[in-house]
Amino acid sequence: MDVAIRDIVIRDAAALSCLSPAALAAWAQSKGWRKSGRYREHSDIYRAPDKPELLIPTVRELGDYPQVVGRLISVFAEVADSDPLTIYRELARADRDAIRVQVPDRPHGSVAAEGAVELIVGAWGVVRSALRSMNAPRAVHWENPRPKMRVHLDRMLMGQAEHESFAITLLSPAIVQGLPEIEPAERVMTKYLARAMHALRSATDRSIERPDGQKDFFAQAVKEGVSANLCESMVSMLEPFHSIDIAFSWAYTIETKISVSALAFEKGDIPILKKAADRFRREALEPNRSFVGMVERVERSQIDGEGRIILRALDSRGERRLRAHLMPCDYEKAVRAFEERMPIVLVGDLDRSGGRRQLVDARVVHAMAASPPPDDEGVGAGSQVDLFD
Amino acid sequence: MTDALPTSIGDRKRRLSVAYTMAVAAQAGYRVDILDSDRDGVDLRIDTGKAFRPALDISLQATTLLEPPKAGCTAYSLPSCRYERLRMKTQTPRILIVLDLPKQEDRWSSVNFNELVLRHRAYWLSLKDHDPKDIEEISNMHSVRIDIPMRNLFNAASLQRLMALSRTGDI
Repeated sequence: MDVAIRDIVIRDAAALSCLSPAALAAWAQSKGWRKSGRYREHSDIYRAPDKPELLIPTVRELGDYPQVVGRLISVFAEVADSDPLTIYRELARADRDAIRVQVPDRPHGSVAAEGAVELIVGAWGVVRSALRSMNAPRAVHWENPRPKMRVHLDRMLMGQAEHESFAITLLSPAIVQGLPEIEPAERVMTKYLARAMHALRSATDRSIERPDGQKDFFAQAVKEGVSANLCESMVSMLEPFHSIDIAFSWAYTIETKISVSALAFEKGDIPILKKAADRFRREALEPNRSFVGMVERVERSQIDGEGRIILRALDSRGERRLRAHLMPCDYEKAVRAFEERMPIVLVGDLDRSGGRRQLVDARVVHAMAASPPPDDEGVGAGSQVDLFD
Repeated sequence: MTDALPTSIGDRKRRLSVAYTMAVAAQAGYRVDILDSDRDGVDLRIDTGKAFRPALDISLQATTLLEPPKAGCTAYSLPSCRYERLRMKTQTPRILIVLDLPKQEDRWSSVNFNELVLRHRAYWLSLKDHDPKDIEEISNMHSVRIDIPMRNLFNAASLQRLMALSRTGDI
């Protein structure tokens, strides 16, 4: 049987063409081959002691690319003492980081369809939560991922189904676009997600040991990416099953120095995760608050005309400084108000979860047409008019 | 009564061109793999048994219609699909081998106690970087006229030179 598998020759040109030059080179390097020169216009020479010389294409646009990939797979299989299909599967993921969520101990690798849907939706929620926390760690994320974050989500793929166990695999591309020492954003995101999952596991374990400290354990984990959203997505995945395993594997194309072991969550974790999520939500935000104040500082961000401001505002509890991230249109209004020393009305959800107060989903709704207060006091005096619409 | 030949004239020409190339490769000390030409226009691969280099991918043609030499070249009408596949960028160098056969089929080969004779000869040509402007005339949608230098005789010595060029990537 083993001999028959090793004799397989993959001839499907379309399947072979799917494997990227970066994946082929990365696999070879992981086994000890090193680039030693150039061959013709579109291939590199790789050599290793006691191994056959390789010619690895640098582009896919070669008339014989499938045949070259087929030969490389044969050599790889022989050197690795493996079979071509196994090597093909490894190469298909060689330029992608993989997040694998598995339901263990399932006979024939099958689960109820409804549970499978929950697993997929929950896994996607976990990824989205981590991405939003990476952008700004917070106990609760109210907003949808912003467009620049969506780019990373759009590039993630669902891996092929596997035999023998029920598992879903999310694949994230890991291809160096510029300098090799700069990690691509997708790798940074996957590493962040791995750390967030470990922080969640750790906070849950500590809460089991010391139930009275749960609030603190989870609060401390916010800066590592734990949020109400992450907890809720985990609950959604866990509810149909007794347990799930989560594992990370890293693309060959980029060196990784982190070692992340697999994690397991069980049904018994659900009450702790639910309680943590509820507390985060209860304590985090006051929705739809409005503040009148002077723009104290403006800072344009690098992209898209967006910017951050600091608003010095007065409310019933006295003066407070609020941070807000504004979309281009609102940021322009805030800059004008700052330059003309006019007060503005800022509306949004007050986030109390971080060290500094900030307004989430903030919008500038009005500016006051009034003389600037002589000593930065008396905000709100004067008639309120709409200057911008 | 003579039985009909089991293969077409095209098949017989092709098999003779394979036999010619294999004989030359054997004399020069190389291995030959017969490939499925329907896939990408390559009929044979000549190599040394190593996975990658040196190696040549061969597109074979056999004809009784080579034109008389003019200015050191003979002209041949190559199917345009083969022409394009020989011009495309590849990792393994590709060459065209054209076997020039006598017009009378009974003279294509002969065997006696002293010799095996396969008539007449084959030429090789690399179409890498071939400029379509060099083509005198495109006879129709399906074939392209190309000039083959008479000096490109395909024999053991020229094959060894071609394999040396394949090793360095200079072909």
